[in-house]
Amino acid sequence: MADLTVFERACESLEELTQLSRLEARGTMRIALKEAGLDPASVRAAELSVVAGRVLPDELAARGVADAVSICERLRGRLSEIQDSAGGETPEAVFARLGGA
Amino acid sequence: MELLMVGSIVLCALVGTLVGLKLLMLATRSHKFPELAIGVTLVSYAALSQPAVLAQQALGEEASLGLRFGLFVLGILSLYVSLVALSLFTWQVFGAESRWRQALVAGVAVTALICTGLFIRATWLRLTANAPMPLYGQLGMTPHYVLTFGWMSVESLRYYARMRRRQALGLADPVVANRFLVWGAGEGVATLVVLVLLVVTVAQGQMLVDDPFVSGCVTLAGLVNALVWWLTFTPPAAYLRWVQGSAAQGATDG
Repeated sequence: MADLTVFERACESLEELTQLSRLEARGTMRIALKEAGLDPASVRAAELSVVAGRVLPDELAARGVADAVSICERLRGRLSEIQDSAGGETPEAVFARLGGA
Repeated sequence: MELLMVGSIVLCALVGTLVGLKLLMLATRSHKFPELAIGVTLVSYAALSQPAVLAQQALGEEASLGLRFGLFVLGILSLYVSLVALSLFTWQVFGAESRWRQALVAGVAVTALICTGLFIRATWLRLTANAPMPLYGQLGMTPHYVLTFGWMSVESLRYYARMRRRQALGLADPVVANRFLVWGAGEGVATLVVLVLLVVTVAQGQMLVDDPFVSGCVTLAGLVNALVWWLTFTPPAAYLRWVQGSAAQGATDG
């Protein structure tokens, strides 16, 4: 469990909170992340929480999931308990440092 | 036209050297590879290769054979180091674990080294035995530059598109997002300029150094490089304010 990425843990939670299969939950989450310009391999819990609040409800509703907003709020609650594991350096972090931001 | 070209090379060399040294100083503090790679790219190109080209032009035929050849070798080896360092930077920043990127860097490094060796040999034969310069000698590492600049441009602009989507959700700094745009667009212009030079060289069978069109391309590349390096790595406060203001305005309008 400790080795799971934030993305994988979020997908497991989504699967538990909905009637979606594992494959459907992962696919929906991937689409939401792509929509937000984020990468499943490097996404952080705080970023996923924003996606769960602003992008995921529409994606779930589009797949016929009832009460999508409430489910996403519960998912955000679970995400707030996740500690980010130290991942690799993102291009964003490199360019921020190189330009002195 | 020649004065303008020399001016753009001098400007490019000055800006590139200052920005490159700043990045190398950052690398000594952070101990991170990307700043080391891009610092080496800029310093070897701007502080070594470009001054060597200018010195060759200034000295002309009057300088000794040894000095002319020495400057040529310094210039071409610095270009090689710059090219490989830029490839390493792109690989490390945009996908250090990606197999195809690793293969691309290795391919560029090995084939560019072979081309450099052939170019040096052909130039030596031209200087000492007045042998005609073959087309591969005229081209040097130009195809490698097209590939490397193009690759860097595509990676940066792709990442910029992702940063724009994050920005809409408040998940990205507009200043950093703009940095990907400037870097990617600048590399895109550089790719086009070098590609045009490559096509002209192949079509004519030789590099027309004195041709006004070629001089114009070199001038444009120098000016674009200087602007891109300045805005990406040492952006002035007024520019940063403008980027932040534009992003805030866009968020309000959107």
